[in-house]
Amino acid sequence: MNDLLTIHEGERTQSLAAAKGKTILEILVASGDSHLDAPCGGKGLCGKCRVRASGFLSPPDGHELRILSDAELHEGWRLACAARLEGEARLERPSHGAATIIAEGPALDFVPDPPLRRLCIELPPARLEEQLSDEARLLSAVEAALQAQAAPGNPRASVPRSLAFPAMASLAKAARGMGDGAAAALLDVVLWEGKIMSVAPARDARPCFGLGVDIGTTTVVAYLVDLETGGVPDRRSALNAQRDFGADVISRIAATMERDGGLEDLRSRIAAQLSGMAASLLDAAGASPEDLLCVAIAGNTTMLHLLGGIPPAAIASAPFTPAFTSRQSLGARDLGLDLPASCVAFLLPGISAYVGADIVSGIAALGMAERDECSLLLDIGTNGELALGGSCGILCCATAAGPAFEGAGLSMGMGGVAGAIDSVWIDGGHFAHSTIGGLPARGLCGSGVLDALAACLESGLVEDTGRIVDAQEAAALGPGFAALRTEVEGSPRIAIGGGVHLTQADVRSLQLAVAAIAAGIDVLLARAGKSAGEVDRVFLAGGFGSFLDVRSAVRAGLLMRELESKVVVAGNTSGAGAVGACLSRARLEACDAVRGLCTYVELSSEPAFNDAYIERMMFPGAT
Amino acid sequence: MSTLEDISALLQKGRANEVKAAVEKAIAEGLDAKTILEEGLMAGMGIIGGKFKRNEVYVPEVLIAARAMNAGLVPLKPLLISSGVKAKGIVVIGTVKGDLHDIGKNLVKMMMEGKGMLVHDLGVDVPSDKFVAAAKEHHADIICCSALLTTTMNEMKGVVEALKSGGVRDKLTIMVGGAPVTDSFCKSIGADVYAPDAASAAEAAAAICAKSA
Ligand code: B12
Ligand code: FES
Repeated sequence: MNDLLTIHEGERTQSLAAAKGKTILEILVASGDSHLDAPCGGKGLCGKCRVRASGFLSPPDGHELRILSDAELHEGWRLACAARLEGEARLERPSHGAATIIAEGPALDFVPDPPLRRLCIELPPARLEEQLSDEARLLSAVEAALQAQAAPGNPRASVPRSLAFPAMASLAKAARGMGDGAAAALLDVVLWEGKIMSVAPARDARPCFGLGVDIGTTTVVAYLVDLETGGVPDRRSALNAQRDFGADVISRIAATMERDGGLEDLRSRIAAQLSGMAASLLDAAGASPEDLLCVAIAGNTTMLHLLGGIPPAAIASAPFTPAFTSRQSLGARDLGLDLPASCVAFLLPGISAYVGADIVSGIAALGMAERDECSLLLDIGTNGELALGGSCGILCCATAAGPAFEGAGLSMGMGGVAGAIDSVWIDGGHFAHSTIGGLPARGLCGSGVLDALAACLESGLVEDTGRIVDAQEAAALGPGFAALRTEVEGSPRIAIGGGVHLTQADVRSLQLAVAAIAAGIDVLLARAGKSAGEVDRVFLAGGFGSFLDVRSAVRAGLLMRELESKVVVAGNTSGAGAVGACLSRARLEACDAVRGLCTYVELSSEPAFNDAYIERMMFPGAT
Repeated sequence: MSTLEDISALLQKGRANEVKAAVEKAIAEGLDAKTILEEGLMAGMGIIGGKFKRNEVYVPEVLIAARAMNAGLVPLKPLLISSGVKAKGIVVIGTVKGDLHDIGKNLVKMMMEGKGMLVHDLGVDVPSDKFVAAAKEHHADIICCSALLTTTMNEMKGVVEALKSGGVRDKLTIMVGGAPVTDSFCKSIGADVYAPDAASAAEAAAAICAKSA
């Protein structure tokens, strides 16, 4: 007999008919749209298939009782591979991070009120007795059109007072497009902050797009934004084209200093990459370049300097001075982007050399500054930026964790590509793992590294000082674990599986990285006079933040235990903020407001940081 | 276990108060200050250093061991001075201009002190002329420069040049280190010795001073 499993995922709901006795995982897999990780293959061992479900379900079985805490069970968490349908049930799927959500075009919780908008205007013909220029007639026609649009609840667009000079020629032409200029002309005009940016003969059903861009040191993502519906129909992402000049910002800056023309090389790389992404998105949408009205760009301070062609050298050494951090609004062409002259670019505001527009944009996207509660934003990349606070003020810092979580600097670290171990768990006295694409293991990506470290700590193979136990101590942990400890030239290592291992030096590098983040959190909490328990929400941003296992993060000491239940996986918050800035003047201005609300905490001159850093190099003990 | 072995073992465990008490006991037993220093405190630091080099212990353990060493030195210092025990060598250390990373530099300092060196720490963001002035003022045997950024490690070249033009280059050894620094970089800027970690740095420094003594 069939029963119904109703799935709630964000705004969407979906009902699946299913037979009694099937597990939630089986039902989802059968529907062909599982979206759920089941690294242990549904054996109830890895705990990665967790879902929140309620209704008529089998009582929690042994695996669930072992893996899920009482609090989790109480909150309705189940293992999808263990919970069986016994009647109608409801399932809440964890959302997959803003990056995917944005791509699906959810209803963002604000009214689209784009800073740049296009109107179709009827330009009355010129009359001899009036002697009014095309410009004057256009300006009053636009004012009238805006007044007609004005309605309570509709945000008011500012009335244009002038026409951008480059648009003058097209106006003169378009005003007479119908022949002698005796009839009214239909024109598409683009408005921005009291200015008419462009004029063109009206065309039917032209779309209006914006481009929300996040320039990361590692990856670049561009989202196509429909300015009328507020949807995000498409996006492009790729590795940053400047990558061969070095992996971190310091190396990129060094590349601009080492030889003449270096800055121009880096600038043109990223400009060409963004232009290419814009062209490809517009092409796929069947739109013309003129349909792109604006580009909002978030990125760290160095990335924005490089895009702007502004020498970044002073960012690279103390006192770490950027040329600018305020929001810049300029013609997209002035940034060297291959876009129409009328397209406007916004470089979103940042805070300091190492807390940039990507963080401001993320804070704005999450609405952190508008809430009274205390939120913590963690963007864990090479640079590890943190922000803590709410409407009363936000503290932020950069912790320089290093690239260990991006797979760099470890003996067998690698990026999140096929063959990377992305998940490790303990299966009764042994380690088990899964790889991306199910291929033979080649190395560890960020989430795998963290899981592996947590498993080493949990098994006792690595003690809380970070030392790999000696052979004798390992033997006491049972034959399964003991066999994982090997030595190469007298130096111990732990076999994670599939020929992949974690060396003693790897553990030491991870101690440096984990402690940098944890100590950064400690310092911000202390400055704010708060304890970890008083944090209401923890937003994990960025790629690593989206994939890491929160329990492993807690086990390895990256996150304090009190924060575990507060974690929200937020995806590409920087990109989300850029999308918001294209869509809404209020969201664009919110970025400026966030900048005003933020206080930068310089960790280099903060003695408390060093103390906390050393303390956090010790892993938390077993519980 | 003898009191000296006690001191070494307690120091390795980082038990500051107990180290201090054991040193006081050794003094009461009539052991001379130099022996307590070398066979108690320095022996313990040496073992910690070896373990650090092999990655068996890490930064926190070294720091607490160094703290214990300093606690042990409190009762010992007056005796060392009165019995005329001299430092094994004089070191000036600092993180170069534009760089504020100091954890690695601090470890180097502690390990060198653990080898009986007298270390003058100039702190972070140290311009090259300050290195020169300190070298002259303290009659340094060794100048140690630390840098953690690929951009600031080039400042080390400036320090070498400044020591040359200050006329003290040939009187001392220049050691360089920090994560991005390598042996070939050390050679390329005309510095003398590179060491990958604090324990090796301290051993190298001790060897240099033993030779010149
Ligand atoms: C801790 C840390 C910080 C702390 C520094 C605290 C302090 N007071 O020192 C803070 C958070 C303040 C910091 C700041 C910055 N940091 Co930082 N930081 C690190 C981190 C995580 C660890 C460095 C460390 O302490 N290692 C531990 C010690 C024990 O090792 P060590 O320094 O290498 O020293 C050993 C040896 O090198 C040797 N040694 C050291 N000195 C000497 C000297 C001599 C003479 C000899 C012989 C040997 C020797 O002995 C030591 C012990 O064995 C590294 C990344 C990493 N995981 O390694 C980044 C890192 C060094 N930082 C980096 C950067 C860029 C910065 C910033 C400039 C920007 C930023 N935020 O990211 C800022 C400065 C501005 C700011 N916002 O404060 C980069 C450098 C990149 C590059 N290509 O150069 C790194 C590599 C991270 C990264 N990949 O992005 N950082
Ligand atoms: S798939 Fe359910 S626990 Fe692994």
